[in-house]
Amino acid sequence: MKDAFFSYSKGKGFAYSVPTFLKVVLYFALSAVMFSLRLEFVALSIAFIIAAYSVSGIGVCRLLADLKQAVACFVMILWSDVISIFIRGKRICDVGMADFNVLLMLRTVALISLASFLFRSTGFYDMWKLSDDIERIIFGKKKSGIGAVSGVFVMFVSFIPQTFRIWRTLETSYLSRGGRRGIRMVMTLMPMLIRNSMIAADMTSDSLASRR
Amino acid sequence: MMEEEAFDVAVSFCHVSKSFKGFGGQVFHALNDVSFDVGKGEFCILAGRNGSGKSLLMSIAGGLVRPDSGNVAFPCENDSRNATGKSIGMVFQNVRESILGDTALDDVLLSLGIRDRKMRNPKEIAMSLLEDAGLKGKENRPSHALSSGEGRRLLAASVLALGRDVIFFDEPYSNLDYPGVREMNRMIARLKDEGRTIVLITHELEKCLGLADKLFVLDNGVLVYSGNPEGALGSLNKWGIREPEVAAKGIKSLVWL
Ligand SMILES: Nc1ncnc2c1ncn2[C@@H]1O[C@H](COP(=O)(O)OP(=O)(O)OP(=O)(O)O)[C@@H](O)[C@H]1O
Ligand SMILES: [Mg+2]
Repeated sequence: MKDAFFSYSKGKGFAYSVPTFLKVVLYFALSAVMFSLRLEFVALSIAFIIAAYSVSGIGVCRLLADLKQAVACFVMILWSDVISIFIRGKRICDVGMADFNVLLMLRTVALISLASFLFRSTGFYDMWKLSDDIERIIFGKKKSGIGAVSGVFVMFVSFIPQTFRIWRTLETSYLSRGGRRGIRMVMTLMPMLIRNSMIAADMTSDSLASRR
Repeated sequence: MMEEEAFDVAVSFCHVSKSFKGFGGQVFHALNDVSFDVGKGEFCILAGRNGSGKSLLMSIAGGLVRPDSGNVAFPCENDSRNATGKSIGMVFQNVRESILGDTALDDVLLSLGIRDRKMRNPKEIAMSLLEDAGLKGKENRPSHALSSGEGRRLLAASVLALGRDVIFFDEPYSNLDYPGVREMNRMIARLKDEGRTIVLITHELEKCLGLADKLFVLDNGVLVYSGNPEGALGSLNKWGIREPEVAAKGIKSLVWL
C-alpha cells in the first residue's frame, strides 16, 4: 500500500528527535500566527517551513504529496468566489492591495506544511505519551490506565490521518469499479467518507476504551 | 469435567437482552434473555451464524454497549472498577480500526504503557510478545501496511500485553492462513495453560473445538446450546454452523495445532 497522506512512519533525522511537546506547541502556535501575518510574511514562512522540511529527514516528497491536498482547497476557494460574483455581483472579499484568495491559498499551504511536519514525524504512541504526561502533571499521578483528556486528545490526533486513509480506500474502490476522478467522484464519496470516518473513529475509540 | 464440581465463575451473563430499532421503526431483538456462566480458567467457544449476536455479546461484556436489561458480572474480581468490564481483553473482529499504534511495536508498547507506566524494559517485553505472535522482524512496519492476518496477530499481541485474566477473541481465524491459525491456537493454548479464561467467538469449529471445555451457541439472539462440546454434535447444522467431522480419533483431534 502506498503511503497515506499525513501518515507517520519511522525515520531518522531531526524532525524525529525534536520532543513531541515542542512539535505540538510549535504546530499550534505557528498555525495561529499564520492567520495574523501579511501575505509576504506568509510566503516567507512557507519558504522557511520547506527549508526546515528538507533537512528534517522526513523527505520533501512526502510534503509534496500532502500539499496535493491543497489543490482541492484552491478549487473550493475559487469556486466560492465564482458563486459570490454570480449571486452578489462581487467577490467574497475585496480587500484592496493584497489579493484575498492568494493569501488564503498561501495560508492553506502553510497550514498543510505544518500539519505534515507534525503528523509525518510523530506517531500515535508519541502523542499518547505526551498527553498522558501532561494529564498526569495537571491532574496528579495514576499508575495505569488512560485518562479522559489524553484519550480524547489521541482520538483527535489519530482522526486526521485515519480520514485520509479512508479516503484512499474509497477512492481506490471507486476507481477500480470504473469510476473516474473528478467532481462527481468527490460528490459521491464525500458522504461515505464522513460516514466511514465516523464508524472508524467509533471503533478506534472502542479499542482504546477496551485497553483502559 | 463433572458438572457438580464447584467452580469459580469468571464472567456471568445474566438475562442479557438488547434490541435495536430499524429505520422503519420496527424493533429487532439482537439478544434475547441470554444467560450463561464462564468458569475461571475455562476455554469456551461461542458459536453461531452471522448476525446471531456474538460480537454484540462481547461488546456488552466489555462495557462498550449497554444492555437493555440484564447484566454481566465478574464475580472473581474484587476491584469494583472491573464491573464495567475493564478486566477483560478484547481482540476485535475489525482489525484495521482497532490497531492504535503506527507501527506494530508502538501498538504493543501502547498497551504496555497503559497497563503500567513504570514497567521496566517494555521494549523487550513487547518484542517477545511480537515474536510469540509470529511478527518477528516486522516490528517497525507501519501498522496499516500489515496484511490482514498479520494485523490480527498484532492485535492479539497487543491485547495480551494488557495482562487481563479474561480474554475474548472475536473471529480470530478470519484472514489467517494455516500456519497463522496454528500460531493463534498455540497462543490460545498457552494462555489456557497459564490459567486465563478464554472466550473464543467463531463458527469454524473444526479449527478449535478440540481445545474447548465448553460450547455456547447463539441463534437469532437466543442461547440455544450451552454445555460440553460433545453434546452439540449432530445439531449444529440447524444453527447454521458446519458440523465438524469427528473421526475415530475423537473430538479432541478437532484442532489445528
Ligand atoms: N448498533 C447496532 N444497530 C443496529 N443493529 C445492530 C447494531 N449492532 C448490532 N446490530 C445487529 O445485531 C445483530 C448481531 O450482530 P453481531 O455483530 O453481534 O453479529 P455476529 O454474531 O457477531 O455476526 P458475525 O458472525 O457476522 O460477526 C446483527 O443482526 C446486527 O445487524
Ligand atoms: Mg461478529
